[in-house]
Amino acid sequence: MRSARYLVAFLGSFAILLAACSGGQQPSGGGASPSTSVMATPGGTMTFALEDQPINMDPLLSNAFIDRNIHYQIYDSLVRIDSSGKIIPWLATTWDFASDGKAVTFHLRTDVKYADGETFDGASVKWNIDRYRTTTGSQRSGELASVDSVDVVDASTVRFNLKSVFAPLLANLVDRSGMMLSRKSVEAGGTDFTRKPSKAGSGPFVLTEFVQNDHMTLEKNPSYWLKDKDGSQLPYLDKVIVKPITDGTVRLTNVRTGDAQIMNNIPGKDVASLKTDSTLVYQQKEAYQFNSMIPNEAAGYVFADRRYVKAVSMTIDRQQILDTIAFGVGAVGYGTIAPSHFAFDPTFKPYAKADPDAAKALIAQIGAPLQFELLIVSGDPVQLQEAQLIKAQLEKAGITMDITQLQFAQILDLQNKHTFKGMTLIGWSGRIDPDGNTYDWVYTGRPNNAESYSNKQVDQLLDHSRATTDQEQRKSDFQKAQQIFVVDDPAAVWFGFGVSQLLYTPKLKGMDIYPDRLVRFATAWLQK
Amino acid sequence: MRTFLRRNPRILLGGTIVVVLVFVAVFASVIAPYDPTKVDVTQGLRPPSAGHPFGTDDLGRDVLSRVIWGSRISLSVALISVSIGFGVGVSLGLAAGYFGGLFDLLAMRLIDTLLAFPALLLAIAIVATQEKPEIQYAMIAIGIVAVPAYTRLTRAQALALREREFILAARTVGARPVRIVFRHIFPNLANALVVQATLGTAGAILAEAALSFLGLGAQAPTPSWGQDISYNARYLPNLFWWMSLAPGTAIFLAVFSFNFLGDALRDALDPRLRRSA
Amino acid sequence: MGQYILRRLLLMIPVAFLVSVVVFVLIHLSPGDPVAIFAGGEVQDPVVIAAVRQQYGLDQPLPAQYVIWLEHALQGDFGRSLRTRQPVLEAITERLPKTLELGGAALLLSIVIALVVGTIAAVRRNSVVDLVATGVTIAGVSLPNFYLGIVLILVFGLVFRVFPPGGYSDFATDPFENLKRLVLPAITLASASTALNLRQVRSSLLDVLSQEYLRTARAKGLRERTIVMRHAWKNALIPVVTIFGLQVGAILEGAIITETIFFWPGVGRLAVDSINGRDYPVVQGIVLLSALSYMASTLVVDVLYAWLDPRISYRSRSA
Repeated sequence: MRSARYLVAFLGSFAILLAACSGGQQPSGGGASPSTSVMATPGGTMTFALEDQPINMDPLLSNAFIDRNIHYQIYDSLVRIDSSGKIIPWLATTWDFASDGKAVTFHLRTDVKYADGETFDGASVKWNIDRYRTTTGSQRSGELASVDSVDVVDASTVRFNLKSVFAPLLANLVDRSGMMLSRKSVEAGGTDFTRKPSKAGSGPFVLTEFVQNDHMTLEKNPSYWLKDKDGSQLPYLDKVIVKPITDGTVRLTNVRTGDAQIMNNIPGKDVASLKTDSTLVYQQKEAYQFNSMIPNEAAGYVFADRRYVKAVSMTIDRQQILDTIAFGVGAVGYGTIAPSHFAFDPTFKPYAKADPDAAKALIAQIGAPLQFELLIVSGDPVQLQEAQLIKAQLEKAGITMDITQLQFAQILDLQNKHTFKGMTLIGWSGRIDPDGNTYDWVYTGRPNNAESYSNKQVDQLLDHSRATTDQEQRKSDFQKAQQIFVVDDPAAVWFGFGVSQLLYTPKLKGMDIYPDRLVRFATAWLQK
Repeated sequence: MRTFLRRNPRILLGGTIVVVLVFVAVFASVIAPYDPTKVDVTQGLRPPSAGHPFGTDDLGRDVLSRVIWGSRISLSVALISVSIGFGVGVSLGLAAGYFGGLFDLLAMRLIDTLLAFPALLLAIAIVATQEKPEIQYAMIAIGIVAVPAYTRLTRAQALALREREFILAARTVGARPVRIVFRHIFPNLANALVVQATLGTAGAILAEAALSFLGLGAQAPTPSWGQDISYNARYLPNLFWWMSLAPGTAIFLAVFSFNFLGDALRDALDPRLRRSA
Repeated sequence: MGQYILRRLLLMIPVAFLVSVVVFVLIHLSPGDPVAIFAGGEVQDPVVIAAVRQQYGLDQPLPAQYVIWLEHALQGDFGRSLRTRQPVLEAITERLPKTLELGGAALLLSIVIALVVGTIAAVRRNSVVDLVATGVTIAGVSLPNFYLGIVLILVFGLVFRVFPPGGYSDFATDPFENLKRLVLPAITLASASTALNLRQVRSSLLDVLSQEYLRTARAKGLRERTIVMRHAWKNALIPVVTIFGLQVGAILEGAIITETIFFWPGVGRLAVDSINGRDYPVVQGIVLLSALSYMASTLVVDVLYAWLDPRISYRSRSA
């Protein structure tokens, strides 16, 4: 077991080095394909049109998906994923789990320095993890709840002592919970650390400018530790300018006019024409992101009878939603386990065909007709279209759904106070491990379990999936649990999975696309 | 009446369009060819044709029907908010102008406070205080924002007339203030108020469109011109233009007709008013 | 004059106070929890959220929160944005130049067009220019500015790629780029006020042109142009100045929508985003500052008005 993991890790680091210079992923569909045999030319400035404004540069306090797009360029984590979603060594070169699984020892790289000159070592790891675990208001405390303490064995070895076996630990350490920052810079930054340029990271770029609603500038880190297969230092690019542009159409126009060289999150309606556009490269990959309608538990709410949830799940036409709203970009889904997750079961299609008649019968069994409210975020025409389509679909089964558009602050307030009785349309950015997509949503008493779902069997299965590192066991646990919380005793309505997307000029090479919908620029270069 | 209209063709023109608008709004259920909220994705994004003169939107709904029904929202919001502005504003202005003193001072400070807020921002803030944005709150918000205009107009006139002879005569005779205000001061205001109300309606329609555009007006799936523009604008670069052009033109026509009518009324009823804003 | 100004300034204080109370009440009574966003975000952990709420003093009773805010505000500290932790004053001053640039350009455009076209329309009454001007006037006032903006973006930004479809570019780094991006939003913002100003210039000039003292000048044999420029304009400008002064407030308001459509990072957009996000300190700061500047600008206009027309006494202009 252990040696297999060792081998995987070892091969993994090779793979990453190979991927770094080979140019990586073949795009799906037409358009120019990135070259795989040309030498990378260093230098150049690239502009990235990002879908929203990043706000918080401190992984301790950041809780928005958008921030991570910057984090991945300026900070390194203990481990990372490759473009297929497999966990690979990063700042930690190898790791060994204790035989009882209650401790994991990480061996660290010794050639890493933070941009401010401080050395990355075991003490730094301990400081970071303790900070994430114990600071008031930390957004990472949930992800690291299983960690009891961190011991510094020596400068290049640390041991995490766990309260219990926790299989998703490594997956959590890929993201913000495992990001390593320089203590010196963080403390020097003070309250403003979250929104000012700093040299706290060891990543390929350094954040040198941060102007709200305008742009952020990332400049090449001259002492970055990762090199390509020829031994040249990464990154190739001198500078990346990040421009937050919330409107998809404007983002697209910026790329078309050359004001930006790359963008993420392409509106579904434009994908078809972009795939055949030879002046741009379009890449797409299945992501961990799921789309759902989550009931909110409040005194006397109608979804206390789970059969109503099932009725909604049976009635909606998932394929029609995908085709109409996203123009076919994405995948139909029934639960929380995404196609890119190891635990995915392609044969799990409980509601393959929309069946409003069966839903009508089920509701008739219950007795009272179903009427509820759906909350969506104001100002998003795509969500509005989605809600109106779902409303029309539900009418076929005699279900009345009223749409309410609210500000995000209001929606969260209503849900947290449990005064709202209907459902909320929610898209979850997704996590590498199926646990990240599932546990907090259906386990008794967890933060995102707005519907106050509580099923003993599901709880047991999910606990068991955490307590073992046996992939097959975990797969079985997840699939059994999913069967329960989607079909037998439905918790909510899941109807689709999203995709990662990138659109860029053919001059840009070396861009890989990842299932977590985040960009990585370390291996990118501009052809002259 | 007939000679009045004949001598003022612009009033006739503006008035006719307004009447047509009101007619469309009142009889929307009869005039509209389709149910504006009927979703049919197989008919989505169809350009104007015989079956759908203004085409369909991305959920296959008939744009013409949505525009026709949208007139109900725009006109009812305008009517109610102008009524609020008029009712509150005129009362306040008359009282402040006629009674003067401390009441006047306080009332004007209140008006100043209202005026100090950028109108749209105040409307947004007022609507934001409610549980969910709904059309009633937009009506109230726009009404509140409209109050200062009526108050100032009325107060100025009340102040000016207060010292006039016929008012002094009425007071000497012992007429009660309310009677004086309504029988003597108010009629002199009528012309100016009619003009203000007409132009105010135009402004209210624009304000409702702006609020709906920001998602704070009529809620989906109720058709509203402003919301339809913001909902469909993203398709413009794909050259699906009819879904946003139609409601936009409708707003323009409605506002234009009230502005045109108001301008014509102003010229006809009180040429002196041309000098002021 | 000095006494009048002093009186007006003193009257501004209670109004400013009232404004701050009104906006405080409005925004705090608005349903929605900003703490849930920035202390929760994707994972709503009630323990974390409660701790952060206490940290920021947002769990205290409203009057106490107001007093604390007022205390700090009087010292020039408007607090920090709940969302971004940026000091409110810094957030406003960062964006204010951009709104001023947009507003200034729109105002300039509006004034120039109004003066030029309005004068021609008045002098050559009922000519083609006059009719077109009147028509454009009403049309401009009737067109919703967000609609005009969207159409402009489509035509000039996306179909004919003459101008960029939105966004802002720093003037210091690239003036040309900055001006390119300024054109469409400035036109959009100027549309409504140009119409109003044009109408005002035209009607004022028409009024003045027909007056007695000009007849004397004409009888003396002065050329029409001299008459117009030297005599008519000065008097016609009086109500025009009033209107222009009020445009400042209208510009800020129009900027809200224009900045939203064109992704112009100005104060208007910040205001809307902050109201939506229930970012209390930012909303309070912006509204208070805008109220103060509005009152200041009306004062300036009133003084100008009185100075231009000595017939108007200060007493009748007050309260």
